[in-house]
Amino acid sequence: MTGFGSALRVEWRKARASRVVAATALLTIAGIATIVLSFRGVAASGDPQLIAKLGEAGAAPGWPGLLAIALQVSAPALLLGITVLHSWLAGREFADGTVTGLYALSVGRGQLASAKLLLGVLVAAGMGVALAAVLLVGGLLLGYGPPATADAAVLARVALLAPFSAVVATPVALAATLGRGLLAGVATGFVLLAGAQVLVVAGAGAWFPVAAPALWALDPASVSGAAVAVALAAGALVAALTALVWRRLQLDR
Amino acid sequence: MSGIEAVGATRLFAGGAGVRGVDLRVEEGRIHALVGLNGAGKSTLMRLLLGMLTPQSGTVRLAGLDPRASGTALGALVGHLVEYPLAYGELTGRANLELGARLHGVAGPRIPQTVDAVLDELGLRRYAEVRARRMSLGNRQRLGLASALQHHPRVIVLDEPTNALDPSGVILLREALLRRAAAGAAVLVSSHHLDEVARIADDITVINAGRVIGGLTPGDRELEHAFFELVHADDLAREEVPA
Repeated sequence: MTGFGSALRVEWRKARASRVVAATALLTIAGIATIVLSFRGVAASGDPQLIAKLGEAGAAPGWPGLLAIALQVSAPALLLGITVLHSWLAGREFADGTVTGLYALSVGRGQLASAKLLLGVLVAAGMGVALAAVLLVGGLLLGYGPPATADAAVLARVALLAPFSAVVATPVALAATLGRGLLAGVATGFVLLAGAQVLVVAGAGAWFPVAAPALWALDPASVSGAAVAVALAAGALVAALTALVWRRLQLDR
Repeated sequence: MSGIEAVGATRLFAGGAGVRGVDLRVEEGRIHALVGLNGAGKSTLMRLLLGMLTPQSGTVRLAGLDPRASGTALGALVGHLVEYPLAYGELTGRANLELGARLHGVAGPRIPQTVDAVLDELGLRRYAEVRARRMSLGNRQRLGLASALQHHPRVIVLDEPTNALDPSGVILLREALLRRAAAGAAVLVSSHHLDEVARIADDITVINAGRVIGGLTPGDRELEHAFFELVHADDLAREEVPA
């Protein structure tokens, strides 16, 4: 088995046994589903004031209304959940003191960091699929019937939103590494989220990598392929930088 | 030199702490104790030896290799425990050891027998299926030592290995180190006092204020007295001649 294969296997074993990963994934999905279904309940109540707050798309009947709310809620919620994942995967070694054991090994620290980042994206992909499945079951239980092709495409975008967000959120892992713990990563996740909101309002749109996944999921036609490529490349670049920092890491503070 | 070697190794931190100009050699087949008071520079020296820090001047070698430049070549050759055991709370004792064996390059099919052997050697059999977070501090330390020793490395570096160990754990560790040294391993252990492991050493080096200030003769009945005399004399000398 290659060094990276061993690294991925080691990190997967730790993540599989960890309550943090399972709880983060579960709570993120359950939180999004609860908010979305609650909003659908509001829309069904007929209260004009509450419906006005949901906006035209969110108040629409059936699948289009449910999925419009799901897209609005999922983007920031998934980014926060993924922030916890990336931050924990990278920062726990410092918080637990186990980082000293990651020297003089047959598996490089850069490989371990890469495995942690890939695992974050894979767990996020699983979260995306699970969220789409929960929304599908929710819609069916609400009596919307099988989704039309256009609605199924939105569900697929909800599923892809999670791993896409995990790729652009790699600065969280870099921050957790440089900050030698979880809190720096979590704080960076909040800054990325707030920065995305501000820059989208300011007109940067999908050219700010962290905003690209949400804008693409909301309306793929409004986001150019180049902007998506830039977002993915920026995430990959930060991932490579994170692996380099791990490879050269000194325990000097 | 295929054991452990530091030549003029220096790494200073802001405020002056660290190590300066340290020379140290640990030959294969010998146990070498590094003793010094808290803050003397033992952990910094071990971090330098293991590549956790880069020396500002001087060189360090493990099994003949520069630990900062040797990539993954040292994995199978070195076993170490510095400050915290490599024990993840969510994993059982066995799972932690399997993980450690994989990280040290033990081939997949050999991992179960490697883990079983060290579980018996360090008296961890009844903790094999217990999650590390449920273990006592001493048993977690024992688990970390097992992880460092199970692949029978040629070079062993242990920082204060008897921390939190009960007497039976100390004896098991001492015997495990003697076996590995007899098989040709170079063993470096640090301690802030002349504990049971320091007392089995073939060589004892005393470190104070980041410098090697001398050695002690193993087996000397007045070992503790000689240690404090060395440290006290060095402290007095430094007061008279400020650095």
